Amino acid sequence: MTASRSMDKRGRRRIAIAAAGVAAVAVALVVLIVRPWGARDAATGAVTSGARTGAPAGASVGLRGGARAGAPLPADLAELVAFLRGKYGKHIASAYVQIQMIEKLMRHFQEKNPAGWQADLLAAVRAAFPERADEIAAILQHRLDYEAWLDSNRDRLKGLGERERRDALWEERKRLFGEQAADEIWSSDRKNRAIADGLAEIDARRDGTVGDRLAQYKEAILETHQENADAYLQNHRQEALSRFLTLESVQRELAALPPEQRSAALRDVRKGLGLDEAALGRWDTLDRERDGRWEVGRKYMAERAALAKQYTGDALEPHLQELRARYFGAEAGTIADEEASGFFRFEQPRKYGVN
Amino acid sequence: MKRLGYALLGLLVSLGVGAEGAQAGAARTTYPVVFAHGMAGFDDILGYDYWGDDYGTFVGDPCDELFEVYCNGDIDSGQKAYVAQVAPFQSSEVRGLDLANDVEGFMATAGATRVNLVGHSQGGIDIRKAARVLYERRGYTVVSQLVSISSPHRGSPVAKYILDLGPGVTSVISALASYFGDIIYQAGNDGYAGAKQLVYNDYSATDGVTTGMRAFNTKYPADSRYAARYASLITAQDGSSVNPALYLLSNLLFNIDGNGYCLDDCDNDGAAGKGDGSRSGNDDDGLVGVNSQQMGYRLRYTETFGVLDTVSTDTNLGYVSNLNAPSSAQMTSSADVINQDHMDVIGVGPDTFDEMEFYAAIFNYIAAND
Repeated sequence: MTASRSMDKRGRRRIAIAAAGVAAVAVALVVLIVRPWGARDAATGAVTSGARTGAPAGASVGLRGGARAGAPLPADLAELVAFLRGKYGKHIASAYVQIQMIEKLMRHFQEKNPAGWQADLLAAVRAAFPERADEIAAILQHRLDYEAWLDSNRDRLKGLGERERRDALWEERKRLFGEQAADEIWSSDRKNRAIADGLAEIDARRDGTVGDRLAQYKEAILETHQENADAYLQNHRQEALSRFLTLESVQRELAALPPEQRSAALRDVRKGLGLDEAALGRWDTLDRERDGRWEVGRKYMAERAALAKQYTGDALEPHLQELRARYFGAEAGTIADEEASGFFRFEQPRKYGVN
Repeated sequence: MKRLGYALLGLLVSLGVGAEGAQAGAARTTYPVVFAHGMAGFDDILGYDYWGDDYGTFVGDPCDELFEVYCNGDIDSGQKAYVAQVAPFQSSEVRGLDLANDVEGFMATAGATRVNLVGHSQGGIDIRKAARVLYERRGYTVVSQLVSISSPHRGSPVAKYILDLGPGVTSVISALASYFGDIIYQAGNDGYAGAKQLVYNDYSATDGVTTGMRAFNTKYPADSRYAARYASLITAQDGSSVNPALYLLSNLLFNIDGNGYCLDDCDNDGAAGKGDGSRSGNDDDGLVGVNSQQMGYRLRYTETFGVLDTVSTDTNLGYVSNLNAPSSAQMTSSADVINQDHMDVIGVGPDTFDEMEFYAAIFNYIAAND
């Protein structure tokens, strides 16, 4: 009986504690949702709003301050913890997500406590993600070291060629963060550059048709984005198309084709990059419009040149105005404005599928 | 206890916590958002880094896959966005036409009938020309919201300083390379045309052509036929804090005094308006003075830790419709000036500016208006 009553008592106490905990969490969440922390107007927003972190070079980071393990969190820290877990918790294992969170907290705590921001930041991290606190503290330190390295090596990096500069950056990232974390943090950057390198290789290729280059391009996209290649193309179809068609080698080959074959080649490229029939139809229409514009432009420039032989100075302009109105209608004013600035759009190179 | 656990879980779920983020995201825009980069703006990296966070993830990539990490969790999962590409160093006559062509292509691919344009730096100038070209070609207002960020609508004294070969500048091209990288040496660029574009007045009376922002503003005004709404975000930061890439300022060679008022370029520094006598303080962002940046409405960016940042219209300062004749307040007010340098708001790091949330707030603003 005694034991049973004691169990009941303990049980009630547990329930009471748990209920209080739920209530506290609920209050914290309500506060979180309805009362944001210190809304900061960007204009008046204190500190230097940190282009630079202002961390002393080589400053060490340790887990200091914050709540004692097991003790209830102060209300403001509880709010912060709830926010951090909600926003970053799902993917906190990712070094990229960790560094996003670190920078968010750096900005927050550097404003609130310029002298002691690191300790505050780490206390928040320890409260929100205790099992990853050491890992995140290390990423913070590497982030500060990387920034200090960039600052002290900026002039040297500027003097390097693009490839050498990129290699130097990667070498330092890997040295500081470790290869896996560096790969995770700069994953998007690495993929963007891999596609760009692929395009450069395709452009430098001396042999092959537009179709061969397209096949190589698709292979590069697949190799870079792997199982996410379709999703990548889904979100970046026009970027993928435009970057391919602006390659000099592709334009050279398209320009060498008879018009019908060129149209077919353009259609193949677009289809190859996943455009559906409706989009292909819209492009067919736009291609025809553009062919028409260039043809009008060619005739206009020829007539313009003839007029310029007949008239000069102020006498020429009324004739040009009439000519532009006849050829370009609503766009005549824009063409005139361009010419006044020294720009003649029909003297630009034609880029098939681009302009 | 188990019941309590479930009750807690239910409470969390009902409050929308524990799924993805305690922070509500931006609404989806009605029309896709096209991003227009500034001078250079394009290395060989597809433009995502320019419009990315400091680690290369594009701010307009929605998290539309279950376990996706490299995306902007603050925007709607169905958000459509496009990174445009134009000549890195050229006048905005050339770049604006390039942009109109690129947008036309995007519209064909995506099946869009209208778009929103967001431009940073010179990109904010290019978008005005693109809006006019698209209107004239299509016969309707193709551009809904047109937003510039840190754009020198009334010129940049740095552009004139470089063209004048001021102290610390030995050649126009190498100075531009110092700012923007070696891309200037690639074929098709015209660094002089780009720099002349960003001087308020016609830079040379003897070259037979009229360049500069004053003439451009007359040709490509904030006109409701071309875009339904024009708005701008303004940046400025004290010289000591700027990105070292802004080398003229960071090396104390040239600091803009960019928050005084006068009509046109009365002090002949390359930008409309004048200084207030003090070069220090938040009167420029390292490349552009405050008095050059407002176009249409001035926007207010408010960072709020814990909920989505906001961008809202500051109606107090009024609308700059005549870009060559803003009021004194529109040129000198420090209201809503974002305390960042010219490079912070794009993917040039490392810094602690949250590009993801900043652009999410812009998406949200556009969604409320487009």
